[in-house]
Amino acid sequence: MVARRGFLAGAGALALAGCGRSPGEDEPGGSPPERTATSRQGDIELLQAAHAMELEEARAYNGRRGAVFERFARIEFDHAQELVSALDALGARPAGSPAAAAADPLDAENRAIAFYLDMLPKVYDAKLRSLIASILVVESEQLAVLRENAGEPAAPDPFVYGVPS
Amino acid sequence: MRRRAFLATATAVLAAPPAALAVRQPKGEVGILTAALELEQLTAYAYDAGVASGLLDARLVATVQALRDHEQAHAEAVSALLEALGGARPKPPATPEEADAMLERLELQGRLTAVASRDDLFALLHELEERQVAGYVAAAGNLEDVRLIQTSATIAAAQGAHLVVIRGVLDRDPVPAALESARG
Repeated sequence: MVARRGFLAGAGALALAGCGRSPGEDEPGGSPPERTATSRQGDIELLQAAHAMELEEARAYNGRRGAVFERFARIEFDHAQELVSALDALGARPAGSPAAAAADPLDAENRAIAFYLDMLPKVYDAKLRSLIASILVVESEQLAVLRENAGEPAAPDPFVYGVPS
Repeated sequence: MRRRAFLATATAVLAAPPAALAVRQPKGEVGILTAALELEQLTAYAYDAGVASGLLDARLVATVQALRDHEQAHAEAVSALLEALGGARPKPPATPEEADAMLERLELQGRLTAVASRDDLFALLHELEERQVAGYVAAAGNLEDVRLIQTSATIAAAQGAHLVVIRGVLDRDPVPAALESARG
């Protein structure tokens, strides 16, 4: 198995460099690992990327008519606000707005799910990981609704991975 | 279908020797995975009982069977991770009464033996799925291992899709909040 700390140590917050572990090793429950400048900066960059993606998603919904799209746009803005609050807690701000809206809501939700799954183990702070997981579940709920509206099964697979861009 | 008939059907289909259900509190990765696996197995059992209940039409039976298969797949995945860490697979509930004992221990409101209608069943399934989501969201913070985090997250995302299906049956808002972690 690959320990997250080993994962992070290899190449900052964006590359996998794991190490093997024995059963029972590295069990959580002891003192939390000390946050370093590198870990803090890594979380900031990940949150900034997530914030830009949420705004891109919101814009994908904004240009469409219908109560579902309006509701989902608000949810994406709420996610963006959660990420702004998380950045604020780290003494940082969003990096800027995305250049363009996502073309299609269904594609945008699939991309968001893939993004958050990739991001999750790279996040150093435990509370932030839970926040990201919580957002991820809602993105999957939104994808399920969009699937249903498109005449597809809402929950076709036992594991949801999204589709990376 | 009346409660007694429901129980008789569920028991006939799912009966196995009674198994004492040990109370486990999550402690470390083994504890977290054991608790997750117990809940996956309990949820799969509840879906199975729903299939056997006679409360559902053919379309809903197919839906519930599909979601049950997902729960089984989750249980297998979590079990493999748990065994790789040296943990032992907990016994699943073997009777509706054992399932109820687990529900009580988890401080969930629904009881399998009290299910008397389609909506009763789906309300119980909703409660179980929400608890699972809450557990996996918490696990994302508490786990350290990359593979454990990502597997938990892909399962949690699938449970989110399950919630949409269940809320549709119950005529509830499919996405009631921007965050899915405070409930359950």
